[in-house]
Amino acid sequence: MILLLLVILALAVVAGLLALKLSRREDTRLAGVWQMRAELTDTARTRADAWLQRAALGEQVPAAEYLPALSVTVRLTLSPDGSWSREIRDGEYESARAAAERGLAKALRELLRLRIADAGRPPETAAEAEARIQRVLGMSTEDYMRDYGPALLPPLSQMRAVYDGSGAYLADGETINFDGEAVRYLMDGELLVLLRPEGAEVYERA
Amino acid sequence: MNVRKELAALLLALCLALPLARPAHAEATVTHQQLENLLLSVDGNDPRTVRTIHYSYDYNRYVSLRDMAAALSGTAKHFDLSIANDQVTITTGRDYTPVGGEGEPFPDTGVYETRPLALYLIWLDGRELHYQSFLSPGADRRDCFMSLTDLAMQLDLSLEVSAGSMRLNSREGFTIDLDTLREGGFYYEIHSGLVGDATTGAIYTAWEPMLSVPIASTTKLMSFVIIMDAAANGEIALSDSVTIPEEAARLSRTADGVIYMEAGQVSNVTDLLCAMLVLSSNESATALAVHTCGSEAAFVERMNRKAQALGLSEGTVFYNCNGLPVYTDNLAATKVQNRMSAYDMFELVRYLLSAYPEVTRITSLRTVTLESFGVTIANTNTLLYNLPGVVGLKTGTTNMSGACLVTAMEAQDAKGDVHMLVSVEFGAEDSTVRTTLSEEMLRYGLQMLREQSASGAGAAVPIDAEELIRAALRGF
Repeated sequence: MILLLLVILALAVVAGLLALKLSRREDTRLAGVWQMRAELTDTARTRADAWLQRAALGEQVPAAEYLPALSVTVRLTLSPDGSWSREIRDGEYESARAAAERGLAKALRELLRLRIADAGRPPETAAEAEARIQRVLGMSTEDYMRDYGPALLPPLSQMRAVYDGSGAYLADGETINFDGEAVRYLMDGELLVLLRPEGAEVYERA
Repeated sequence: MNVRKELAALLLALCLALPLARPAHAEATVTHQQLENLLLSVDGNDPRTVRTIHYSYDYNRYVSLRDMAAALSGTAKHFDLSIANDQVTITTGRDYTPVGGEGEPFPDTGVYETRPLALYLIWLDGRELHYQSFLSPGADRRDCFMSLTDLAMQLDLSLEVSAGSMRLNSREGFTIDLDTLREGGFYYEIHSGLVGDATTGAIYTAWEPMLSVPIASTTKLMSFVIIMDAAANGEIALSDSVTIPEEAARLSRTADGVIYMEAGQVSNVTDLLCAMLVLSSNESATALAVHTCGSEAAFVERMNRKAQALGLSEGTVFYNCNGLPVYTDNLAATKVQNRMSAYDMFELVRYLLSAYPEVTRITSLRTVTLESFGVTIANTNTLLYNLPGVVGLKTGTTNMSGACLVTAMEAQDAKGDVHMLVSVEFGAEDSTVRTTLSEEMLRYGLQMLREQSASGAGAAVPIDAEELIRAALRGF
């Protein structure tokens, strides 16, 4: 009987050690820097369309034609020691915002050209429309968008609240436990997919 | 002589004499029962009685000018007063010479008679004012009761009124805080209103500015734009003769007509423009519309297209060139009126003053002689008298629109630069309310202009794409 208990105990220890080894191997595979693109294109284009709408008066100036695809990188670092961190790249956010504002400025110039034509006035080039706007504003259209234009992207602080963070993680079978929050995941080659309740996050190994 | 014959002769003499003793025309009077002996304290000194009539409603105060003159004697706000026949003369900067009875409270009977409320001639430092007031009857020690608000604005008085007493600081001037008054219901007398700086686009205060409401004859400002556009394009000339069309002649013979016209009669564009803007002549607007576009319908189509080109909202709709109500041509036969928001009217006025500043040469005329009709007409806008700097623009009244007034006033900021302040008021109860309210709004605008220019605050930046594009289109 004692011998049986000892064997069971030894098997349990081995199983535990094996599980630990396996999970560590899993952690090792997960460890590294992963990157995801947080998409902002639809949000920016929808907000731009809404801002232009009242002035459009039947003219077609879809924001999709003027605002480029916009996204920012979210970098997830899973360290071999079981710590994790994630962050938005601030510089990319500012670049995306500037690109959105340039696109909206371009759309506004085009809309002004169309409204000038509607009013029966001589047609103007984009440069002439820009000059006209500058005479009104005392600043360029891009500067106006930067300082007074609509918010085309979610605030950086809001994005940080969603994405920025750090803590400890432990892979356990089909889930990764991020500080007590279990998230199912899939890994396929250089792709890591975190299946969160609000949606899947697809990361590529950096 | 027989005693009976003597008595008969005496009786006959009395019967003949009595009619001669009676005045040829008895003065009409009104009896006031809502009276107040308001206590006025100037610069914290002992209060003096200022008799006050509450006209029809509590706190609708009309104060005795003689009592005010006596109370302000020896202060920085002193003024002299004389009343001769039906003319009131106020001279500021002089002490008042009492005639007796100043500051005596109303009698215990609790009633007081004056002549009815009317537009008596009031001269202030040589400037003619048009305010409704009461004159006491008779020829001896006549007094004039003027609205406390109107008096405070004209004499630049800093007054606080509450609970039967009034405090005046003679070292300060009249100020108005519209945003605070708004919370007390200041704007409840109108449908919508706005005051802004047409030069910079800044809006100082607004009440329901986006609400589309009937605008009555203020419509004629857009009509003027269309006519001037046609002249600028060479379609018509301002020197053109105009043959009065049947539709204009017919209109002139209705209750909405003000200048009698015959079909086929010859007038000219200038006379008709003056009549349209100064006297709000509906028939003149119609005649000009037909002359410009061949028909009123075609003219109205241009009005609506122009509204769109100027970027005005969908709430701006024109059915005719003059602002009168019209019935729709269908089974329901609904009565419709031209509509606009205060904000759209502000934008239209900004365009008008920028594109055709000469409009104020007409709208600032107090009277004008129309040679082609052989009549001299008077401007319906009494603010031309009451507020220095006012140069127009247009009144309007229908039952549904209420009393409307769009006003433009030249004003200097703290640096001496000239701005054009504009007030838009739609829906006042009557012409007295629209004039007083518009004057208060413009004085507030003047305050804001001077405060902001003194503090270095810059011109307003357009808040959205629509405002920006409109501003850019105005650059033409």
